[in-house]
Amino acid sequence: MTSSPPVRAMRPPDEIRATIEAFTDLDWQRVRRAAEYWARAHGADAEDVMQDALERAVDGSRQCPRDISIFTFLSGAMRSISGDERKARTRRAEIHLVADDGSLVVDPIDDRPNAAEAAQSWEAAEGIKQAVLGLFENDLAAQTIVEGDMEGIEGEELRDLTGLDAKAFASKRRLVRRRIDRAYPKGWKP
Amino acid sequence: MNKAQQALDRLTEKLVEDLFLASDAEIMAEAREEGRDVARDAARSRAIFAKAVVAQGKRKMAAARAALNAPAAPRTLASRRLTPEQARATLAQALRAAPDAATKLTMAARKDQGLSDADVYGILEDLADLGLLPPPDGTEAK
Repeated sequence: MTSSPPVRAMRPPDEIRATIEAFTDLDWQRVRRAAEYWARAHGADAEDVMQDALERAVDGSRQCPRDISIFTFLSGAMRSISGDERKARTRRAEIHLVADDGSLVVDPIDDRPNAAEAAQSWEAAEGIKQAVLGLFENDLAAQTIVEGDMEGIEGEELRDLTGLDAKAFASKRRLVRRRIDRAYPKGWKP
Repeated sequence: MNKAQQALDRLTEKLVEDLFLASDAEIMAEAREEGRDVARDAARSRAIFAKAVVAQGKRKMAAARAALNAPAAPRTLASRRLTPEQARATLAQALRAAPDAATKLTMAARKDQGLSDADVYGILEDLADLGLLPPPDGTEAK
């Protein structure tokens, strides 16, 4: 017998709105900086990304599970909004052609980059990846954290790989973020 | 998005997570170091939030207005597809099949006297809403 998955409780939009209304100046600093991270990562405008995410939060078009903090929820919304914006920017225009018989032929949008573009884009991102790792050349633990984050290695597994205790790991993680902040103030640009 | 870009996105996610874990004192210290004005940033952010709330309110109002202006959907289309003669025959059949319902109708309706076509259609729609209309092929419901 199969059992249906448990229903995930969601925060109603009014509750989300009330929580946001109660944000302190420093809470707003967190949200703003998260917007900057995502906007820079995807070449979007931070305030636009933030406004869109806030709109989706209060109108209920994006649901916030109760077990997720409002900050994480807003960050997820900003990630997807900025990602969509990047996709929209790279979308090609539809081409309309008139055939010999006078009929209209529409060449549908093909968003797939051609081989040269794909290679170039991969090369650029790979170059940044290597440069970011290079920031921690003499710090094996920090480099392991960055590499692990990039590979999607999570929590305890990643901490074990660094050989650090919880406190030292948290402090190393902070160092990683601050060094990247200073090296890439305008986002992932070579 | 290629694999290298996905890797950078995963790293960004972790940077944001770490930012959220930072204490107020750390956030304040970082803001000072970067020359940010926390109070001014917060005021701007609250203004953006206010805009988001207003935009959402406008959308809600527009949706409510559109719903009010939308023509009401016809209640029952099936009876309107009948000719006036078929409608009267259907009404008679329905009243025979459901004598209890018939007692609730006016005398005129029960005897189909002086009813306009519109009255007949209206009664059929009421009976359909009550589930008392016989099936269109004339067979009695089981």
